[in-house]
Amino acid sequence: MSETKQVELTSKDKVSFKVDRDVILMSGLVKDMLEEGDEDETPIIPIPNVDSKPLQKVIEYCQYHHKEPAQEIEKPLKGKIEDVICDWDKKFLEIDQSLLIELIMAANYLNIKDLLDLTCAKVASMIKGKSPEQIREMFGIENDFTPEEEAKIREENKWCEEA
Amino acid sequence: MGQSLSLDDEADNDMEQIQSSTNQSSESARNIYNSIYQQTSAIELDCSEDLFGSENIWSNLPLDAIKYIFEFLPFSDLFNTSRVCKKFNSLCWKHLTVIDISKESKSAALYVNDQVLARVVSLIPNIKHLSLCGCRLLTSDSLELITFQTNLQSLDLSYVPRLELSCLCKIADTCTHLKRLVLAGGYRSWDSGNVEKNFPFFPNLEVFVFKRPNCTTKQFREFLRKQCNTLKGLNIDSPQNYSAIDSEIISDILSNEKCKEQLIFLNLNFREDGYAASSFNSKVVANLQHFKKLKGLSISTFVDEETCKLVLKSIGNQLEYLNVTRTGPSAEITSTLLSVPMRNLKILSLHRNDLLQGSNSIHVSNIKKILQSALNRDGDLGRLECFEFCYVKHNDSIDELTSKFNPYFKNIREWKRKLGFEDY
Repeated sequence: MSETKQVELTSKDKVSFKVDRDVILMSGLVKDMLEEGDEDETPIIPIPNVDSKPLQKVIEYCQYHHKEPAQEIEKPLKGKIEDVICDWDKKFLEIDQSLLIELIMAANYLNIKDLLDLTCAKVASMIKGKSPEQIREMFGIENDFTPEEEAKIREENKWCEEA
Repeated sequence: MGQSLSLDDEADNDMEQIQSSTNQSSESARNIYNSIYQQTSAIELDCSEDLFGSENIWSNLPLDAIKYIFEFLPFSDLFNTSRVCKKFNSLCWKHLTVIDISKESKSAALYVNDQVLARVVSLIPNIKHLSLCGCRLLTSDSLELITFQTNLQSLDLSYVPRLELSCLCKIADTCTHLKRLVLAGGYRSWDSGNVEKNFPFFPNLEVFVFKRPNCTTKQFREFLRKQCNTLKGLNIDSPQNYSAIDSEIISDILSNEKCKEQLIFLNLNFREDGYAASSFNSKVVANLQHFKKLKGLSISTFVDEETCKLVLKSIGNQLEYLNVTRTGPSAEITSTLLSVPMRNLKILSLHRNDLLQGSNSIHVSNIKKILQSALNRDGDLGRLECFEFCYVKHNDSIDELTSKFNPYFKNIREWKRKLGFEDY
């Protein structure tokens, strides 16, 4: 039984990835599925919610971190995320915003807590220290407050503005 | 103590201004609560695509993931985040369980009025620890909204001068999980001259702290007696006025069987000049020898050397914190301290204010003896990390001795926080 068993993952866009079983066991979802099914040679697991590009990244992450568990990221974040993660993770996060969001969805769906922490903390780190306008601009979100509502919230937030 | 006192004074001064100022709240706190609460509960049910429009990258994110992102943000950033859009506003607060206003910014407490509290309480559904220390603008209008926080475990309403007893009764009735309550300063309607007679009852209260109370009345005594059944920590620090009932309150607590069994810390620092001596007597204080679980003790006086020895021989070795406020490093207490093993003692305070008026050689030599004993890490005071004492004239040999300890050796506040003894 010592030879490495493999699992085949199929992405939403029908790309297959062969991964070592103990690598992909980092995913709570895959783990549950493997425990249910019987011991096929190479079980095929469809991942219908995740495209190949983020899935590739997820696998990369698991390959590195299944042996090198990530340090827990403290909540709330102290400083920027780059101050609290390892070099490998810093490199890993050099991706564009849409892939980052896709990774959050993948981590959430596949139930990989450390990856979810890393990606969500990255987004939080991008928000940190920014004004509402800057945050809107960064994520393309529309301001749906009326000027009156905004003024009111501003007034009520006064107490925390000069920290 | 210095800071609390000044807070208290400010609170008193402020009361006048508050009362004379016109009521700025155009909208009642309860209306704000109702509208925000309904609005944000509705948003929970929508999916994120509705929230951001299908074009936006956020639209695919599950709500749970969005909320999770906000968990990594410090409190101060949540305010900017809440102003981004209505959805962010309703989602970004939900996960919070700890709200400590005074920790967020220096002057925060000055700005927290009824509208702000209404907003905080309505946006954050599951607060477990709420501290409104020093929020002087708050009135019962918003304070009553705390009753909706039924999971509340710890509540700090110190220096909230307009807190009414009737409001506290309502909170006691609905927040039945409350384990820790901190009060401080004068509360207007609690003065003995006022009509309110019904004191609250908190069925699960374990820690009760009341600094600078001005209401050591018969009703208050009755309240304490009822609460003693569940208490593990009790702190009645420095009542503002001497009351004839002080000695009865002290006697109630020190002879209470439940307290003897259960209390982990006890602060009966009735310290105003002249009062201490009349409020404590050696027979009552001797009861302390039976406090089996006591780790922290703050008391005005042990009355005499005999009682001091009796008590410390029995429980001295279990104490981690000892503060004797009306006794400086006098010969009596020093000889007891040096003859009884107190191997768990981490903080010792013999800071007697009136000794600042003049120091004498016995005083200085007693300090030296204690310091020397503490320097022997295998000795009877070997775990001492903080020793607060006072001496007027600079004394090189004392300075040399203290320099061998941690640089914060004399900073009792720092150590209390560090060791989790804030309530002691």
